[in-house]
Amino acid sequence: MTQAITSPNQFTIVGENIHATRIVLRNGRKAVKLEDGSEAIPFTDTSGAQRHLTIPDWFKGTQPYQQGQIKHFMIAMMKGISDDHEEQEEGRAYLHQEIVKQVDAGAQYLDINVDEIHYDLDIQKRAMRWAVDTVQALSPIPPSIDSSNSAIISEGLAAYDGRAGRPIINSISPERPETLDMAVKTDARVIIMATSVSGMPQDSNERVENAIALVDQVVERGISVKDIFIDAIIFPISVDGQNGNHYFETVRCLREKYGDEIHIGMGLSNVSFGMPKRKLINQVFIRLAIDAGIDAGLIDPVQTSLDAVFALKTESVRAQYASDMLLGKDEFCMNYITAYRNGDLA
Amino acid sequence: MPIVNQRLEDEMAHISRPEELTHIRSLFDSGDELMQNIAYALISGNDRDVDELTKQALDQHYEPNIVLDDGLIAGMAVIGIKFRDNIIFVPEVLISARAMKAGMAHLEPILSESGVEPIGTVVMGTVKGDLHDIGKNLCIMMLRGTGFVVHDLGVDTKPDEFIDAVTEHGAGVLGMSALLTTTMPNMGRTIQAFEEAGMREFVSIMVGGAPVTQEFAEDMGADGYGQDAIACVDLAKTLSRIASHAPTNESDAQN
Repeated sequence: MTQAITSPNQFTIVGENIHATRIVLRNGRKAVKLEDGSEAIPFTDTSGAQRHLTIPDWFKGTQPYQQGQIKHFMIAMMKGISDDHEEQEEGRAYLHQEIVKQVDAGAQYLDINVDEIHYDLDIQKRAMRWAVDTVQALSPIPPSIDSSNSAIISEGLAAYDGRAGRPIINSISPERPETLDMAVKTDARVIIMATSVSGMPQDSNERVENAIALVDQVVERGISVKDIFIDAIIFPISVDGQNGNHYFETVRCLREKYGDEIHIGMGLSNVSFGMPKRKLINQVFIRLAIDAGIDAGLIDPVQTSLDAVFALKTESVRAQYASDMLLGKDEFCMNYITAYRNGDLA
Repeated sequence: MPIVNQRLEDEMAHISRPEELTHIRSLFDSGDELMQNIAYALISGNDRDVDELTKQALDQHYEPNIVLDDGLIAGMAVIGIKFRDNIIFVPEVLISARAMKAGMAHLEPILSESGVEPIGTVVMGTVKGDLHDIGKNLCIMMLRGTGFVVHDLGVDTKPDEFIDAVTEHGAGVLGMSALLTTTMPNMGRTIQAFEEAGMREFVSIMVGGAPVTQEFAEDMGADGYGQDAIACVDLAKTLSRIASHAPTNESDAQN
């Protein structure tokens, strides 16, 4: 019987923040109005200087902006690939301070996803190339190349020179076998999704079967089990109270089958979609998942501290509401939601 | 009549946009207290009460489409607004959907027997290559709650499957969803396939999903974009009105 990990340094953190989807609210505390009336996102660059990521005019024409959202990494990436020298420097400085924050908080890989920057593949590829170039120039840790399009993954792998160690491909899935060829060619580590060509898995049996089939395929190509990260696939607890149990059961089975060598975990924050107090749910979920056997995850270590997860007082009232819900003991999550409304989760 | 059910009246405090409040109150104008009680039972997610009250209404010879419109659908409209404004959460929408189902179990057999037309028929699916369906499922729930007949094609739906379903069910509206930027272009390709099949003019196409925007919807030639489940329902209503009115019937166009 394998043991659950017992300290944060046994957990592989793939920092998930360098994503074109990331949002700052226009009327939130992370955005400011400058003296000339324009909006910007303040940041401290790595030399300690106070600076601003300014909002370009093209972004103001977009729907997210008009709905009050600033996609800050999308903007930084667009600046990074622009022709203007000052803009390029601003984009790079913004990414640099994020890299430093993530690394300081314990990230061992930096996940880069540019997919939403634009629907033009050429722009997506340029953004991926820029982000990988920037990450390898400024960070001591390797990238995790993340895209739902294998052409973009290929671009990211080609841009990385390997100086900080082997990269991760996020992810290999049965519907795009070419990503496995890329992993072999570039000696990358791989994240595999427990999906099948026929779609998303319903229960733990299906997840386990899918994962085993893919692990077999990957190992057959000469990739070592210790270079595999299995994403056991968590669906929101809000849509089905058994989603947590499907996940935990999958993790237990896979840990039992493969022992300590393989890595299990990856996407985690999806569990709290559609619910209030997401941070609490995420923390308790990670704790329960670690007990079931995960040892890796795509998380923002600045927001979700592994130290806090391990220090979590699981017997506290708020943690109990969350864990009962995650373990399928709270039909339709109504005890949790009622506790939230009564202020018992504060 | 004005709202006499006090707990339903209390619900009105959650509706912050004046034009929506006026609209919601107007939905209750045509009904009476029993209809308000059904609406409140649905809003509070009490499937047993919805079940009993709906049965009671039918026993008292209320028209089934009156119970549907003034009771269930009026209640669902409140749920839609509360969900959009983060007053309630995903599980509570599911609970109200279950209550809706309890009421529909009594109404559906009579409605289909009496040949009452649904507001419209919609085919929904997530596009090829995309396996995500939470947003789409919420839209389907709200559409059904509003009285649409919805045929759900699930995830990873190929253009041919959309075309076949629209043809088979005579759907006036097609809804496509995508969560990934990389699968979003498959919406455009599906629209293209409808054109190539000579089917485009017979169906209104709406699109939605996290990366989709109004600009992109127009760009790919869709008839509308829905930002969330409420917008999706409003859009489906508008589009099915267009679909059910032949172009020659201009004077008949509503609003």
